[in-house]
Amino acid sequence: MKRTKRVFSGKYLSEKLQSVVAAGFLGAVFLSSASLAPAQYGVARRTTVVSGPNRTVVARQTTVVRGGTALPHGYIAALPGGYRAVVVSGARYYTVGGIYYRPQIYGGRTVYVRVHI
Amino acid sequence: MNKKFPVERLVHQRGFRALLFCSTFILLALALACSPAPDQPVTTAANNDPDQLLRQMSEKLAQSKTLSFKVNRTLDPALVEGRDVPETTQVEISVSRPGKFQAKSGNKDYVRQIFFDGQNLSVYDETMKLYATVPVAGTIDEAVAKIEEIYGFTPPLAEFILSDPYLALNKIIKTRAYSGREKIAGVECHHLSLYGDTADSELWIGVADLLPRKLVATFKDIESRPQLQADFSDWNAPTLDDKVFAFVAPADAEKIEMVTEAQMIETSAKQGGAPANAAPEKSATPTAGKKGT
Repeated sequence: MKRTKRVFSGKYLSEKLQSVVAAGFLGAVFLSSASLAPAQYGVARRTTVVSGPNRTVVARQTTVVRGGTALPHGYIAALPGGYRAVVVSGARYYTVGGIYYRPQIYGGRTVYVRVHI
Repeated sequence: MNKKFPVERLVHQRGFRALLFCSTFILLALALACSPAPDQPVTTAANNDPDQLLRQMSEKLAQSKTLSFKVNRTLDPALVEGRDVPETTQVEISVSRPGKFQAKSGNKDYVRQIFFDGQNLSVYDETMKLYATVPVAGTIDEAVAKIEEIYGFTPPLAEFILSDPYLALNKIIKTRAYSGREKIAGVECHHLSLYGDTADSELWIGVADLLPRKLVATFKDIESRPQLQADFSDWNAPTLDDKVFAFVAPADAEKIEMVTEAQMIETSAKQGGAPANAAPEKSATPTAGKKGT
């Protein structure tokens, strides 16, 4: 399986890592990256690494993501309760609480992206 | 005068010779009775070799032009986004080598199917009546690699349907050990312990048929050390019609877009890598009238 490495900005940091960054390394230049390891038995893992000066690893956290990369802002893995399907210009959307979602397939499953209609 | 030692005298007695003959015959008969029949598995040092057993299992799987099996898969909550209890899923997989597979997975929350017919990959969300089809051509091996590279996921337990499962497993296993024999669902199995960088696995392989019977993987690079358990059953080599692998969209299903990993990363990058639960901001606008790809 091919190993892929993606570079993201620091917003993927967990709260714990964010607090570490804020407390101890404020002002320093960090490079945070999310490396998507090859899936094993259908389970993919994303490792977030925080590097300090001279590429020293100051923090590392691994989470498991079923499918691929963690869903970015605006995407949800499951619709909130009480949703209903609507058809807009021939395409199906889902709406709940005044928010509209468009379904897409990502990572072998259905995900929903928030849209403005 | 008889000068022979007592033992020699005993040997020369007619009754003792008869007793010795009978004892030898009985011992030979017992030895033959206890030896395994030719069609039964033989336990030797060679077939307790975990690497050899992995190779044999791989060959057994690869030899079958068609294959179908079921898996009862349980994932610990840490392996499933948004869950705080384990998720159990029933998976049914059909394979026709070299270039077709179909997998159906489901539980009380969802039912999904993946079809690969050698030309196209289709993912069908049976629960929501949604599907996406994209061109992916080649063998099962090529398709699994492309699906992971382009679409960022791997079909469940794909390691076991590739043309050389040993090669795939060997990439993730650093050391291996034979842990004895155990019965899994009534089937006598070899128990292998497989250690990798990110996960340690216990694998049970049937003694008689060399098919995988159970897998327990512990993802040790995650703090809670979550586990995946897969119980294999219903191994068959049936005659499979091409229709099994060709997705035909139901009339009430809607075609939607299949997003690539690159597209998702680009979206994420544009947003500055914001996590999904961050405060809402300007999001994508639907293309009016577009019904997926």
